Amino acid sequence: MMQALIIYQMKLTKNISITVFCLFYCLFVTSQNNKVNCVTYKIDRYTYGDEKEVKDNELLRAFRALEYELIYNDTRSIYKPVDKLYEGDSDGEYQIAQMLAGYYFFKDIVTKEKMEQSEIGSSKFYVIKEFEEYKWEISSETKIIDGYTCYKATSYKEGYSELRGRVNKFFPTVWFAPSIPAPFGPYGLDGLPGLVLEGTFNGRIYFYATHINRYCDTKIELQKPTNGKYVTEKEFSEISTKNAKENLYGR
Amino acid sequence: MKKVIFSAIAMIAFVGSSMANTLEVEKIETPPQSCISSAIFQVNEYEQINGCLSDTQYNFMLQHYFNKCQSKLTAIDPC
Repeated sequence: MMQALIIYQMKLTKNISITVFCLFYCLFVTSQNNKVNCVTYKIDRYTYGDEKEVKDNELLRAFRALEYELIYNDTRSIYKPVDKLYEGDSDGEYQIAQMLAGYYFFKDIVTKEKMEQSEIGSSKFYVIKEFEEYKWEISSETKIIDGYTCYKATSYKEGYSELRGRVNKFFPTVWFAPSIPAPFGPYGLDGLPGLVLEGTFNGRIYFYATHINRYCDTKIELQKPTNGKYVTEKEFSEISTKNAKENLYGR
Repeated sequence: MKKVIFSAIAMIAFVGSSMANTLEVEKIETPPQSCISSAIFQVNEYEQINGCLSDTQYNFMLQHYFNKCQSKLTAIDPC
């Protein structure tokens, strides 16, 4: 009888130990998952004169009102607009600004995946990008952004536009901080040995970090999106062109 | 008799000409140039100010300005 009781007590102690271990392990794993970094970005336009500045004021105002967040951990990042309401968008300027500034970007450096969400009408697509989308050339030029020394990097990208019948050329430029060793950035401007704190895709509209919050708490999970159709850049370009042609010339 | 006929013709001519002057000239909104041309112009202008657009951005912008132009045309004559 006594022996049975001792065996029972031992089993109970073992079970409790396993339960406590599991509990601590789960807490540890959960806390690791929540340990992400958040950076807030805003958008503006590099000025080059006053004349047209006034002319395009409404759209620029819409760009300036937008706010984006880059959330990342050691391996993944998402870049998306901050959820907020934009009042007085009767002319659809915010809609245009948001479309141009991007909806959602995802990057995973382990699986080497990079994608951007895009929409045509009510259909949602995830455009699969080349993982090393930009071949960066790093210069020795520096500037301080929010206390971080940033280096300038430039790249080149081109793409054929069927609707225009010409090749578009872009010269992206970014400023990245090697002291924040995360290969992420806004608007898919990434792949550098440091976080991008300022960057432009076309040399005019640029994204700049306003709050750099290391180790922030967020409920957003850095998961690969699944609620849309995955297409390559070429496929998406074809769908977009076909849709535009139907709308413009098919009526 | 000739006088009567002449007076009648003169009267008709006078009334006609005076009527012609008082007729209200209906204001016809001249439709803007083709909405496609208008949209292309606007997107080009946008690019001048804000930098080049990618292929898909261009398609989106073009449709946006085109739809805006079309809806303005519809608004002129709701019937």
